Amino acid sequence: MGELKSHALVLRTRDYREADRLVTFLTREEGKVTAVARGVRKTKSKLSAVVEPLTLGFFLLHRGKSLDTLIQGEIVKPYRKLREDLLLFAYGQYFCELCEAALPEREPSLPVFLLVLTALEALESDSQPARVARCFELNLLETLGYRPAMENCQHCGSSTGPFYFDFINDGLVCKNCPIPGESRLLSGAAAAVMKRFLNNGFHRLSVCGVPSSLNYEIAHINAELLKKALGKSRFKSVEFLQSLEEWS
Amino acid sequence: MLYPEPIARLIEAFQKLPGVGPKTAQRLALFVLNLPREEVVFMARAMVDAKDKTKYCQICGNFSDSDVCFVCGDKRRDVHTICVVQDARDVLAMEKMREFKGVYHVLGGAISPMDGIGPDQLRIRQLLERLKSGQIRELILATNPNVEGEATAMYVSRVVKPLGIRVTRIAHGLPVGADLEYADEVTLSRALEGRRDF
Repeated sequence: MGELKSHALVLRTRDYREADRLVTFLTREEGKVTAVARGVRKTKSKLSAVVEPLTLGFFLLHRGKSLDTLIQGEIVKPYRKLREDLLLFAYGQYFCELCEAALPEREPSLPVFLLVLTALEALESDSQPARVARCFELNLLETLGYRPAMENCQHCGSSTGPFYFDFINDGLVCKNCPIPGESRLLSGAAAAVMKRFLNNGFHRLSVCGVPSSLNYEIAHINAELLKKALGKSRFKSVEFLQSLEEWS
Repeated sequence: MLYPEPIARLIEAFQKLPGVGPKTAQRLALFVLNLPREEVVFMARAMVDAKDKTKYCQICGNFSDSDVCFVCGDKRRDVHTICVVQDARDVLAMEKMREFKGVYHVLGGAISPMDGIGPDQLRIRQLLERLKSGQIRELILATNPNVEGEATAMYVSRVVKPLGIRVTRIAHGLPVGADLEYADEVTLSRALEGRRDF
């Protein structure tokens, strides 16, 4: 039993029983935690707004035998821009889905917590949400211990592109070295951007121009790496995100 | 097995209801056993009838026992104003108000990318078909005031606005009877944004 007081980001909610919701939090202290928020679907609930997805709050959870119960909550940052723009909302949901898939229940992961908050901040301020997403994907992979080798060719050490991205060893192979079966052509510019994202994170992200052709190349590599690392064949929010991007 | 097979089956059936666990199911099953036979038959028939005879309105998607629901079939309703709601239960909530004289369109859910629910899973295409008639003047978006409801409202607004139809969103703010001191900052800021002359 006992209680947990923690800053947490609301990743997902699901309706539960008559007026309750099951809330998946990404807490600062204990990683992913699912708790029941009682009565939050009623209009007069004091906790309705604080358990909305993409809300950063400070929460008090009571530990139960099977499920925790949300006792109190206070909004720290509601990320309003993400709720008021359809594309940003879709990206925010994608980030939450990745975090949910990446972490097992109750395994503390402060780096992932801090990373997703930085990514959501960047999403609110950056003019290119796709650039933020690519940077988040790569840094999430690194945080989880799946950093791709983007420095030079893994075989001969050459730093001149174009490269192939080797999906077996998760790294670059130049065109002069034996090209592995599971690989994809990657331009030198795309490799350089990926390297920059991994080395600098979100620092001065807005000065790193990523034209749509490069974004497409990086997105494809990242998607394969994430599928492999997180053991999922597809991420549901990607479909909606792609339909919005095509539309815009 | 502690119970004879018919009772065990009834307990299992009750457990399929939302929020009903094994203990409650057991209590409900024993309660049913003590009811007069005609009441049990009445309950069973009511469930089967509701399942067999309930349809969805061909126009708006609301619950109905005929092809057209009681709202769409009412000639006194203002067919130029459509109120878009997420669920057929929301139609009943709106109708309790007795102030809305327009008609409805039930989307059948809200956009939830993480659950794989996008516009194609909702009745948005049917809404656009209705709007093509040219007689609609206003579309009121009454999806839930949560992130999924807002996303759905934004999406519908984005596809409908180019058609030149007035699109409005129901107001957000404090519930009647609530205390201001307990209101959260998101609700309060929305209430402030939506203030009007007094």
